[in-house]
Amino acid sequence: MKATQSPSWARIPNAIFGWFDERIGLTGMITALLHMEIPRSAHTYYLGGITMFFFMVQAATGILLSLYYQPTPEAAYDSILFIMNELNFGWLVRSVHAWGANLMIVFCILHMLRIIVQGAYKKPREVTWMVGMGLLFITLGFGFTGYLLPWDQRAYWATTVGTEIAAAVPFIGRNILEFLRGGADVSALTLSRFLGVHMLIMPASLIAFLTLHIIIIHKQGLADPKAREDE
Amino acid sequence: MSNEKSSPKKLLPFWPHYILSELIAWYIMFGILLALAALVPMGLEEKANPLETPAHVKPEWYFLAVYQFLKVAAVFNFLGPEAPRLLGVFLPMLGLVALMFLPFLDRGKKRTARERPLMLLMTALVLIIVIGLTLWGQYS
Amino acid sequence: MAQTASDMNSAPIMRRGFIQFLLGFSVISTVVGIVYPVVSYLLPKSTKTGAGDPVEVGKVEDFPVNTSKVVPVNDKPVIIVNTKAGNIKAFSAICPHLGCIVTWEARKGSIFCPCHDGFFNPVTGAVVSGPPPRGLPEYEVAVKEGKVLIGKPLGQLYGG
Repeated sequence: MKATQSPSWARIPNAIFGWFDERIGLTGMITALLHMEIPRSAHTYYLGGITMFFFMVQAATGILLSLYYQPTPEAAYDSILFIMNELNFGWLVRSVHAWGANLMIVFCILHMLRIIVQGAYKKPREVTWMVGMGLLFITLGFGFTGYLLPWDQRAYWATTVGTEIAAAVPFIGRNILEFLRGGADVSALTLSRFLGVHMLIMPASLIAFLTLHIIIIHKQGLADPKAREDE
Repeated sequence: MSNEKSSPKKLLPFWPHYILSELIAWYIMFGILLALAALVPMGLEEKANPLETPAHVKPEWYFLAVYQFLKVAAVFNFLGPEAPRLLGVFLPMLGLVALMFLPFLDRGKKRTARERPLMLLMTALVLIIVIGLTLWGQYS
Repeated sequence: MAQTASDMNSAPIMRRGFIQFLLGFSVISTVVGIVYPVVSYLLPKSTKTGAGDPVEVGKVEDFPVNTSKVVPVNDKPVIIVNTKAGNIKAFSAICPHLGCIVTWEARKGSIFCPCHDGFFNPVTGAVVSGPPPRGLPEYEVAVKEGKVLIGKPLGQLYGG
């Protein structure tokens, strides 16, 4: 009522926030998420965060690509050509997806090297390390399954040789290989199988592992490389 | 955590200081990504032909080291005809399993890089071997 | 009195053990009942054997000396080579190392796998050098009225 009071419309955001805060305790959640302190000597060089950023780029561009991609041996190659040549910025979306994949793996590896050099995998962070290795394997799996999808010569033969490596396992090697390929050869069945893994299984498991990874990091705090003993 | 040295001055608030610098890092990487994608667009080879393997077929760079090791593993031929492929696949896998269980293999309490010369030496050695195999695979 | 007490104590324990057994049995059989069909669903039957009626792949003139051609025979790739000796030979074109398709290396006069530099003898299919663990299985070749016919594989096909 006084002049010091802000106009009624300016109070709407606060009112909405207050409505939610009263019911689900937003303030507490935000405090728990953001109000922590990290050791000033903990240099992460942003490597893990950048890896996560690339995953978000991959998810966005991957969804865009999936809207035009056709997963059959007859149509896959032409649908990639269509994306690259006919669609507005299609070449850029595909290029960002391919480059993002490579950079995601680069930063995954750099992040891992940082952890090794700083000894940040040691007690009590063994679980974080192993979940992180799981994330690395999932990321490589993304690369391997995604590589086949354009169905060009490189894709086909890299997948043939790559899956053939499984056949070296004694006794059940051939079964593993046929399980991966969905048959004796790389075929239409392999393509749909790889697409399903690339678009459903891998993203779901990566998000699950990443959530676990971040929850543990958040709970334990960053490792202080200056600390000599276990905390 | 509990020792008296970690005074409040040695801590940095996660929000907004750390988050902000992280976002700046993301922004820079986004620029690099767009520049790479625009300047070096991803190409496409000929359509897949199951009857013809192109010369010098190579996997992506991150599998090249293992791929090249498979070639090199031909030296295990003296152990039997199946040995090259078996060892060529299993030795890298063994390495990955060892990496996975690294916290249980290296149980030393020391953390700083300067106090762990052996670990650094081994890391450097493995890196040199992997990078060497990758380059060898690329240029052979 | 003491006996009845212990009987009364052990009866519920036995019942509990029995219920736990039943529960465990149900859980395990449910898991098996789900996992087995899913795994079988994911393992397709392989129907391609490479065997079948002889296939005509071309005329003799289509295969000049010191050249080769890869053709599909009953869904399997077969390399047909005309060696210097002048006789037409056919081998499975799948390299037994990692499944690449072999080709003809004219300078060395031998069959060659481009993936890991495996060389094969063009007359017997045996490994000359490189990592392949086995040679290439030979196929029956017949020439009738100037036409080349490819018959059955003479050995176990790789991956078949």
